[in-house]
Amino acid sequence: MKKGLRIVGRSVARAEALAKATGRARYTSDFKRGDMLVAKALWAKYPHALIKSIDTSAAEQLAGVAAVMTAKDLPGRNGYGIMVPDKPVIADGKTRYEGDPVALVAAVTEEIATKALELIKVEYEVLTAYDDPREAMKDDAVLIHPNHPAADKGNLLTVVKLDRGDVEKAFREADIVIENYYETPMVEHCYLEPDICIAEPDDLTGGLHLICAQQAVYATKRCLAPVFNLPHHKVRVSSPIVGGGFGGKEDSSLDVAAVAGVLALKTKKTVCFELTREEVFRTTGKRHATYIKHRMAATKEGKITAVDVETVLNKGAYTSMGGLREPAHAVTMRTAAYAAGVYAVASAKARSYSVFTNTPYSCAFRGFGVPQAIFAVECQIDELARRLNMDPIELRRKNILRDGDHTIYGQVMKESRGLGLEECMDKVRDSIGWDKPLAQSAGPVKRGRGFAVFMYGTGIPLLFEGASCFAVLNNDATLNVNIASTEMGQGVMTVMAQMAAEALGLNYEDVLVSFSDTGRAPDSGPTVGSRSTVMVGNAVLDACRQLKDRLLAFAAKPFKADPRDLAIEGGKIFVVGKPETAESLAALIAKAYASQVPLAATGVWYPPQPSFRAEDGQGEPMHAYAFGAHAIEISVDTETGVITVDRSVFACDVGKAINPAAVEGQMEGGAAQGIGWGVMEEQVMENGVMQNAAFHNYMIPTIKDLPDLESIIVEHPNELGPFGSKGIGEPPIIPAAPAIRNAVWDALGIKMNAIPLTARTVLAEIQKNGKA
Amino acid sequence: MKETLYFGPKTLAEALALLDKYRDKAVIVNGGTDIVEKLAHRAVDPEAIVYIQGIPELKTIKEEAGFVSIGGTATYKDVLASPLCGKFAGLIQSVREIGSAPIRVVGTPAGNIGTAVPAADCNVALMALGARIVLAKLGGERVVETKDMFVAYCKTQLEPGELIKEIRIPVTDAGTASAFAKLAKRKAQDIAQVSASVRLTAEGGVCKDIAIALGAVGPTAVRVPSLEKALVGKSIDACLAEVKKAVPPELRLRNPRNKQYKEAVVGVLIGRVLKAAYEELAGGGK
Repeated sequence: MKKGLRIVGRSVARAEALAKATGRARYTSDFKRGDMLVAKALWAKYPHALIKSIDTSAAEQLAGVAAVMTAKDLPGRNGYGIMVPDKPVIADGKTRYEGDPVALVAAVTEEIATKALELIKVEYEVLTAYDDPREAMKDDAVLIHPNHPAADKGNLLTVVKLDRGDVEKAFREADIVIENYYETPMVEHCYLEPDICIAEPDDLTGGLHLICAQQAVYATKRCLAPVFNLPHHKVRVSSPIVGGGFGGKEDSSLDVAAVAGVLALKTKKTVCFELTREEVFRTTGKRHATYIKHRMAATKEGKITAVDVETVLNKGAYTSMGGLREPAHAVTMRTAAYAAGVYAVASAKARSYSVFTNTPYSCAFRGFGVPQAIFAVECQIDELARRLNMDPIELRRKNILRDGDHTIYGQVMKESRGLGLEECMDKVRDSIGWDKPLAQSAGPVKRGRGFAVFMYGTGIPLLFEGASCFAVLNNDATLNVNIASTEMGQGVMTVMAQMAAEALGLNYEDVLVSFSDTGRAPDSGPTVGSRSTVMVGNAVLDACRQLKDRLLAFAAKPFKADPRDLAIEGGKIFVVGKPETAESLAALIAKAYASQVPLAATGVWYPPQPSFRAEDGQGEPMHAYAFGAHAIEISVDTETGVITVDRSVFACDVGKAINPAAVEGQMEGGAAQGIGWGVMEEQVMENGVMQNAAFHNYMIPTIKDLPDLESIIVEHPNELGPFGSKGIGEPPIIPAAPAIRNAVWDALGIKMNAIPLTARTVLAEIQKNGKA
Repeated sequence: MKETLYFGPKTLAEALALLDKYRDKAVIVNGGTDIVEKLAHRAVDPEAIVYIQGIPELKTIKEEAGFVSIGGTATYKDVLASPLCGKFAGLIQSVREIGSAPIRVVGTPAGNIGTAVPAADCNVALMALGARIVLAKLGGERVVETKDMFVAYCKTQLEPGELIKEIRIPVTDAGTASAFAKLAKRKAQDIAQVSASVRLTAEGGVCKDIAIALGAVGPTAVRVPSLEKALVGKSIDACLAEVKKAVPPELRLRNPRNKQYKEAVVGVLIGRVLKAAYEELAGGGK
């Protein structure tokens, strides 16, 4: 690890903190203007239906209505999607979920637009709507996408296959087999800022500017240019700071931008389309619900020898983050790849089925399917420990992947990329006092303790990996860094500025990071997959290295020194060991510009080329992993079923914490979201209609539902990461839910395999087991 | 589009005159935490809005003639700050459970009664405390017991032209205590799955008088006379044993999704509030 870091590794204040804390930071909705048209969508009345006729004539005649559009009025392709363009801008002949727009309206006020929607008459022929992929994949199920390239497989979109070793032999020879069926719910991201796009036609260029809260400005441009029938270079996409995304605003931003964009082109006016909270619940993407049959074989000494796992994923109505061509199906692929979790297992078979239904489309959500897969594995190993009467942490220690081991998909683990799991386990074990039994009281409350671990590969290889940026040194020795990544609260502005300042010898305050605008920066890749610190960070370092090399080469002559003996620090340049030689960096930059030294650079970085064979799911898709261990203590009120999380101790190996406070923020936020997933969050669907589309019946944890969230940072550096870092955005959500489930078993002696563990389900189990 | 008239009367008399004029075409906005959302979504579309928070005479909390009376526009925050209301532990416990601090700054007990959702925390406590509700209209007043106020889901005895002027809670002596508790899906800012409140008079470890009210177990908050009658004259220990597994016939649960759960916990919850009230008495009360 580098010694003597000045800025990296310090919890410097967030670049945007003051503006946010004072309420002055401008989000997309703060860019609304009085002269804009307001867009509204007429959503599908029936989640699965044929559209027999649409009559928009009365709506068109309403005063103040600028445009009414149906599928026949679109300027370009009526289909888009991150991987496959199968989601229509406006439903054409068929609806597949309650978030399909059937018609669009733009009007001078929201009130008029709403009134216009009421005047549109639609006739439907209602079809069976599917909530459960296990129903939708039956042979006699109604086809949701009759004309889809995947329609020959019925409602099954894709199957990811993974095969390694001789699984049958391993199960035949196993001393012990653990077999269970697990269920995890569909959940909403619950970002604070509802989706919004302001679309401005650009009369100067004939193009379109989409101002839209999102996670991937270049993906939006690529996916929507054909919808607008515009060449890519005339579609400018920018995103002000974003009020949370969690993976959702990779897709939902396309939904709102497509609508605002086609209406702006039609009316030749600026159009704003903003979802209400209810619309966010009903229409935007969700976490895939999963149904996992998990078999695990082991020896009586506690060595796991094989896993055999079948996962059914609820794909919802559209492909979203997934592809036809396996394994370019990020979430489905990961449910297979992580089927053995963090463990070295010689033989494995995994099949993951992604199935269309009539629920909202399932998309990226913090962890890309890894939380679901790890939930099952971490419950399985806990049961193995019980059956073998072994300490669950020691059993895990026997099985974790170590230097040189292969994952079940064939990736070789490397100490040089940072393997800090065991240190995380030990730190959590010590901190929570694992070896001391929990104090129990005489009343109805029973206490329990649970443990879970995870690993998570940094980035989204096989999809859109790699990153670019621009960097420009100014005459006053300040630096502009332009990246296309999104600032959504994770702190990308801050950590990029820290790394650039460190690399170039500038002060932190002297670096300004501009973000998420295709008009200002090259593609940094989407802000997803816990990838920005590593991928974009490396690109920023590449640009800074180029600038520094050019400056030092230029300075060699006036300093009469070898460039390798020169250093820049705090706005000065000097010969190392001779502070008296120091000169102002600004003066040197001015001279460099005058001498035709270019001080603008494009930084680029790509990880090692990934591989993953579709036939057997073998390859080397990842370059580095973050790890973590989580111990949770709970109380269960056995008379009411209410679970209280009393303590949460969480350690993560992040390689290098560029900004420790930001890392702790990710860990605390992930733990909170993971606890919510474990005990209360659930999107309830009935025949394609969401039953709890508001925050008064869709529960997320408040601060009173959370204990003090204890975070421990562990640093095992990644040789390929900037300053040794690995991605830590998503993974903290992963282990809380299985740790809670394992704690409930510890407290009650009852095994529960379906989350969320609500009071109702817990009390029903207590009564069933006669433990009340 | 139709215009909605807005009135902000400064006196009760003005308000009553407006309500008399617009009758069922008027909507009363008090704290507004419920009705404003309905107005915004046009779930209600009145001819006139009568905003009553600007009426100072309805804002007071006072004690007179054996009652603590809470004015119709007093907020939850006013209740929490009032030493007079502090005498009723059940009331304070229920108000602390309502919404969030910002909601308690604007929301009102009278508004809670007017909205009449069956899970409303404060209404359940008021019902157990035997509170009376004073309804005023142009030229007259009438007094209704809280237990008789709610006639159907979100429907009260309040008639067009009427306004909740005040809520009167009978003052009790040192032998009586109250308590409230609720079960919800999370620990704050949530609607009750089941709520329970009691007012208990006990002497020598024996229940002399008890009122039990439940929320979220049917279309309205309800009193539970079946249990109340059964418990009077019994030792507190016997009462606790009796209520724990009770599923009183006053429950009117229909949704199969939560019926079993609510039936399983309602007795537990009654037991807990009964125990809390008794412990307050045994601990010397206030």
